[in-house]
Amino acid sequence: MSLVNMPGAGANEVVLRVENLCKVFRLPGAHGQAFKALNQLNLAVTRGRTLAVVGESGSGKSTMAQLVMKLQRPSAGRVSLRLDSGMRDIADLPARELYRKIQMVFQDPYASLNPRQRIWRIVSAPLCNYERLSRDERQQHALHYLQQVGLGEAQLHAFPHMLSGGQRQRVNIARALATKPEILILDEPLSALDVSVQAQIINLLLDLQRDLGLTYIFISHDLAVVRHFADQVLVMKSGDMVEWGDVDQVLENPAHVYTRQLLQSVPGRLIDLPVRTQSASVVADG
Amino acid sequence: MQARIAIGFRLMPGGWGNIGFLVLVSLLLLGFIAPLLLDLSPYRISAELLAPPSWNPLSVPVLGTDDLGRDMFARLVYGARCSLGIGFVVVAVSLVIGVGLGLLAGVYGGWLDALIMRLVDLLMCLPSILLAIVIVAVLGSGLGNAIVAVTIIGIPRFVRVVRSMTIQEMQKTYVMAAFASGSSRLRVLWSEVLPNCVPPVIVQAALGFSDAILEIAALGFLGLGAKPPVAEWGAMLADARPFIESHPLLVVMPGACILLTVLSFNLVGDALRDRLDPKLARL
Ligand SMILES: Nc1ncnc2c1ncn2[C@@H]1O[C@H](COP(=O)(O)OP(=O)(O)OP(=O)(O)O)[C@@H](O)[C@H]1O
Ligand SMILES: [Mg+2]
Repeated sequence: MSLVNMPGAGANEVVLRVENLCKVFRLPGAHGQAFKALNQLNLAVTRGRTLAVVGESGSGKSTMAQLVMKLQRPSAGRVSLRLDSGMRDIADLPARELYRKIQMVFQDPYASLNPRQRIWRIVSAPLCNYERLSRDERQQHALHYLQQVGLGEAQLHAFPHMLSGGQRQRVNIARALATKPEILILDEPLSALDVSVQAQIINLLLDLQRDLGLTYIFISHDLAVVRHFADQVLVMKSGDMVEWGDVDQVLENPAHVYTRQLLQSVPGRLIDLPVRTQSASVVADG
Repeated sequence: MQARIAIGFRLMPGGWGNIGFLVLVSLLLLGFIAPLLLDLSPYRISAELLAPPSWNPLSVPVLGTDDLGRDMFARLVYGARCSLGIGFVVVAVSLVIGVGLGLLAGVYGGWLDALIMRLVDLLMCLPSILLAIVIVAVLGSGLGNAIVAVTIIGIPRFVRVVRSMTIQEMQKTYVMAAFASGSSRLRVLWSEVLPNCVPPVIVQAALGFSDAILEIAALGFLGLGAKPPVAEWGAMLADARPFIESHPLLVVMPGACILLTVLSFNLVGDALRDRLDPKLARL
């Protein structure tokens, strides 16, 4: 962690590289058709920066996130991660090592918390995969990470249903931080939240990035947020990579029709931040 | 301490189930405490054969004696101990095996799932008592083998409910989140999946208890389970058959005990099901 914060050290260093990543789903049925959810994806993520991934619903964003998290097996291609020893293929990394480096906040803040577990148990669960902890120690650790995301003792013993949407998303973030990862994949972390809460979570994420030197892969529908939040953007359409570049360049000067369509479908929303949620029209247009 | 009491109350299944629960608790006390306090022997033979019940709680053979002069009350009490004890063993063993198989089938899927589920289908395609007879016929008759047979028959109910719960749970995002934090499959099963299986498994256990007791009694009655001197309700029923016309109470008493126990377990099971597992409630 300290290494990351050192100015200059590792600047412009690629920490995650995706090469030719493909995912084919076989649709159910005896002669199941093949469905390409992800096609020849290439990308590189720089340390301490934010890469946004945008695209209409069903364009394969979550699939990509799950492949990078090794929660599914790619049909082809590879994902490599920078360790101290250099770039390593995640397929060869043991889970313990992989999930120390990279964590994910899932799309649905409601479904991603086990309704039968108390918050302290949920937040400290990742740590139990790395060391033996007593109940007291688990609660202490959980409290530490909850405080990092602006929650506190009041939520420690609550069950997920007792929390608001924004609080749940904070719990999700706290859990993702618990293994002290360097890379955080945020799968539409704002889409289930209302506007005022969205702004709070964005600020929280920006603070965390500044304090912990995190690298983000930020999946979103919302181009206004992307513009405010990300350094680079990857545009996807039905599993294909449409465009990739610096946010300013891609959003000011889209090279591809599809990007332009995405931009047009959010009229007047590129300038001011306090924004509406998910642009439903993105989907309709695409 | 307060938590203890609260848990005690939460065990009460509610509605008619409470009555069943109380009956079972008193049977349990009768079967396991009464022999310690009273001088009861299910085997001691007195000179009085086929004595009628006195209905006087102070007289010694309260419920009379059977054809060999054995105290009926003592035999019924020991029968309760036998049935509940066997029921417990049967349910415990079939629960552990069934839950294990259900988890395996649900998690791994594929050929393992197919294999386990075909075995379960095989066990479920015959009426259970017929199947018990077949298994006892293969293993040889006797109380031990009857217990094994009833245990085997008890397994499928647990496999089915746990497998379907596991398949459902494994799709949940929070299970994926657990994998994403580096949890092993075993840990995910233990801390995320299994806790959600507890309510339906408790329901199945209560219903399994009643089936096990009924089947053990049926096997005893058919002479395939407990053998004559043993005080077991089914075997007592069989012993009393020749006297069904002259001394009907000899048949009625063990029969009523079986009925009461099975009914109580069913009441408890159904009440628990309504409370813990609304999805499974019978229509
Ligand atoms: N397990 C699966 N089996 C078959 N098809 C799948 C599976 N998972 C995803 N898909 C398909 O892959 C495509 C991409 O899905 P994905 O969840 O990655 O989309 P997304 O970009 O995250 O969309 P959204 O913005 O709605 O979250 C969809 O068409 C989906 O139906
Ligand atoms: Mg998605």
